[in-house]
Amino acid sequence: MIDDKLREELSALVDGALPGERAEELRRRIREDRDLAREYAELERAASAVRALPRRGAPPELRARLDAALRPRRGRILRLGALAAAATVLLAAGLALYLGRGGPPPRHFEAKDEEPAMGREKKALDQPAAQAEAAAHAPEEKEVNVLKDARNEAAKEGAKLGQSRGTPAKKQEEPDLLAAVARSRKVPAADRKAYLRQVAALDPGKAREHVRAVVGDEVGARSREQARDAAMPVLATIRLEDREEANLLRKILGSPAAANQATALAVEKAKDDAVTAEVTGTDDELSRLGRWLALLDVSRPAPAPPRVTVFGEAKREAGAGKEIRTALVRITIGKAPPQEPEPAPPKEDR
Amino acid sequence: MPPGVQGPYNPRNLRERNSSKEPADPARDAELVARARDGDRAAFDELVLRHEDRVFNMALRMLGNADDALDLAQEVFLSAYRALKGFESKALFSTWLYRVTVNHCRDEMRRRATVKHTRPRPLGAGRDADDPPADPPARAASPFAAAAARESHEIVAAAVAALPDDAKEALVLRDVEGLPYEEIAEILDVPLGTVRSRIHRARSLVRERLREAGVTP
Repeated sequence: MIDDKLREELSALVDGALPGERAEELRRRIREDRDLAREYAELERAASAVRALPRRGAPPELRARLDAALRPRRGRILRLGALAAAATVLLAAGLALYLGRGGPPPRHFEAKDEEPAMGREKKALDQPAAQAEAAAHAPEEKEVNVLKDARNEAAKEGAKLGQSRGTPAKKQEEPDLLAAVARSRKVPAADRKAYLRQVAALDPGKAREHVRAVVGDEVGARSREQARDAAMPVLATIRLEDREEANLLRKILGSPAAANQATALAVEKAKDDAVTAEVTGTDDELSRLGRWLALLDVSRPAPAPPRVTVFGEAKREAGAGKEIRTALVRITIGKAPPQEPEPAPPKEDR
Repeated sequence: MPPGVQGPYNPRNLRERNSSKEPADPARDAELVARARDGDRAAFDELVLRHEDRVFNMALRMLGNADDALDLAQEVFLSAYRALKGFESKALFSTWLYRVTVNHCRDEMRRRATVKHTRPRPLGAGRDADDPPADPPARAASPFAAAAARESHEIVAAAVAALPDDAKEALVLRDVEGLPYEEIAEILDVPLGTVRSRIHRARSLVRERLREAGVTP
């Protein structure tokens, strides 16, 4: 009769983890008892099977990701802790800057009024508690609070901002401040878009960097819909329900590490409302790309469906048993393709 | 024994097999940790280099998916970087790093339990496209043997991936990472007897699953 305790000891014997005397006694019993010998042999083989699993080296991408994540960057104020407090300060500073430029008042106060009640409730349910609470406030009350905070904070930050206004240092700082405001979850999505547009105007590279960060942050913790809302200047989103496929798409599009958990892939807004991506993959992967791109979900009304042009095979190389191709893909959205004039019908002489 | 599985296993070789880049050297780790704490990025990079394979492999066997393992390994090292200042040198750095990895794996598996992002991979399902060949062609006796070995590895990997989380942790630390029971107990923060029973339970389940898949252990 082999009880559980004896089986555990047999397993420990496989690992050489039994004390000497007990191990010797058990070995003697194994020699004498065929059932025990069979049980021991099976456990040993199960252990050997697991131990024989091939080991993999960590992919080089891991170090590249870590390097990118740990590289010190200017303007990463929010990383220094006190996220909530920093967001408030930056929100106020951003508002002060925005209003100080004589631009139109922020749209979010108007936009909320336009939103149907049902939609607002649904949004509130989808959002985290703090955001839901903010969304539930009356627009006017919210406006008063935000502007009050803005004035208070601007008064504190005013001297610093005022001193640096117009100086080269200021110009470098502004995109960071505005982008930080744009990332704040306290600011409605519509306004975050406006802030990020300003960032893009000042420093397109900075805007792209922040979009990546927003997509990464948001998708890690929230639903795809929220991530999509948060990633304001996203031109279009390819949404794949199958995570393995999404991972593959990220891989061949060379998507940044920030979008770790993404099951949705954002195509960044780029000049001329188009994005050019270098894609690398096997024939099979590239052929699947066509199907994925057919799922492009344009995030704003466009006069024409997205156009996808695959051009130029950059290189072709043999990988591990596979042929790897690299090609360029350009996705253009928002502009109607030039219409070729239809040839005039031939005149019929009667 | 499944085809392709090597013969009796010598636990002494496991540590060597694990340290594909750098041999385990606690003294060197301690020195690098001290430098990394003082803000030396190069020292941290070397720590990553020394331990990345172990972390990645453990994550791979715990999560059963190379993409998830890569994401998790990244999170582990970022967490380690942030927590390095609080690391007390009472434990070995490698033990501490395994503990961080286990905690991240638990978080990920908890998240999977509530949000079904990935499809479960049934026994005998197609292998991960990124998995290496089971046996290098030069060593394989024949293409048939190589294919058979790969198939058996897939079945074994699926059997491990399907284990209950606590049993899987113990088994992976023992049979994949080759750690002694005492260190496993320290990493999992459980008594030695619990480690022993979890490893035994995991092995019994693997054995059953291999039988179900037609591979007699």
